[in-house]
Amino acid sequence: MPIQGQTIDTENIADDAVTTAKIKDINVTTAKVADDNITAAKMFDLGRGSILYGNASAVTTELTKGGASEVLTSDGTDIAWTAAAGGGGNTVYNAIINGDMTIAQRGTAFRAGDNDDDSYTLDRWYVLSDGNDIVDVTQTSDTAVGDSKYAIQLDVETIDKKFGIVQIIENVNCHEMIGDNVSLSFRAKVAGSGKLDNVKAGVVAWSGSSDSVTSDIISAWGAEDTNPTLIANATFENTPANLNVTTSYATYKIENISIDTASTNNILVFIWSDVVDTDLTDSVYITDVQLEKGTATTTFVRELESKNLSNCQRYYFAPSGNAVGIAYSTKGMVFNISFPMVMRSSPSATIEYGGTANKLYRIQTGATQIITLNYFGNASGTTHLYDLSIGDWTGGTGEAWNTQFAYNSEL
Amino acid sequence: MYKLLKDENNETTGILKDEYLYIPMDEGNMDYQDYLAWLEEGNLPEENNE
Repeated sequence: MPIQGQTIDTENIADDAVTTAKIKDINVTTAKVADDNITAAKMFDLGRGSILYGNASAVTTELTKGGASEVLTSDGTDIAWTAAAGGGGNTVYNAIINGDMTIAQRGTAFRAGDNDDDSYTLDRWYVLSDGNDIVDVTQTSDTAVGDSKYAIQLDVETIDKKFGIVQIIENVNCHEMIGDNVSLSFRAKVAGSGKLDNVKAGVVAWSGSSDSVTSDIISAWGAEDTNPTLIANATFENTPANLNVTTSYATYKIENISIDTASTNNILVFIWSDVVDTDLTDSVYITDVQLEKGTATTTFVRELESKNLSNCQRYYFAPSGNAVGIAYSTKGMVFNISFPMVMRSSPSATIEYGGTANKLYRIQTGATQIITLNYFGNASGTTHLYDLSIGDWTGGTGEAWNTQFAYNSEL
Repeated sequence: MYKLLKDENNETTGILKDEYLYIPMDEGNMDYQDYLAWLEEGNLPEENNE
């Protein structure tokens, strides 16, 4: 019955008398709900593992659970589930050693004779080129703010030839990547005439014997922008393409590479210029090379220099000082060398003094002598004993001699 | 050229390459692997007669 001229206030409504049907749906507004009064039970049920988020249309909705071991990542705009390696940020494992080019035990500049095809340069990196003395290789401090202190510079010395750098990863350090996906990243720039406009990168599977890799993996360099033909047992796991490297440092990424060649035992990273029209002093600069397991790249993992050096010394060790040997007779002397790091294998060795091979320096008198070692003992990855007992030896018992060793256990 | 390094009992203790590079007989060593491949090609090393 209509009520006229009267105000219906709260007192005119009995407790519990307003039924749901008496409230118009659209009149239940946010203002009618006090803060902190929406209980979880009043929300719709999310699927198990789901969360609420704002989607690309700025609508609050359900983000269903990710896959096993995936983590929630943001691209700065939206969030999404990605493989764990993509969300670790500085916790990833970089299978590349000396990726930031800081360690240079063999020297910092490799020119005519030292830069030949298939020669080691900065630690763990060797140059491959279509001939010898194609590029001078130097450790340069021409890097960008926030990058490594150093980069490797490949500076054209013989024009119109392809060239690049390679690192072979030891089986024990890439085993977890074989049969899985990896991602490669590095920082690079070019300089010079502008002709050096086609830099590529390849992840190469080695399916020959484990840790017995043929370092010169090139069978034929090929024409410009034609990927080199690799030797038997070496296979590109990605399809290398022009990365369009510019004259400013930038990060280049090749992600989600499947290491699926049968019987892969080692992985190599190969970065090269695929140009056959270059001018002298055209250069490529490369640093912060990282190969990681997973479908996406992450921030470069920078190691302390001391750790980086130790990692390198598993493969090459060149003490900055001399080793001292003691003559035990007029015809023999012995050097007993302990390595600072267990080397990958018993290393090959060279000795020199003052730049002359096989030369020794007699500490008591300053005299020098060129000899040939003739005996190995205790040859292992941890110690070497070298015994000289040769006919033309002119030493005396108890004399101290020194010389400089270098040890090589590269792959 | 490769040369065998021998001890006083005439047992080979290592390999000398080009009178400069001392190679231990460790099959994990790439230089030694190169030496073994060189042998398989039918080559023979020199004896160290010093």
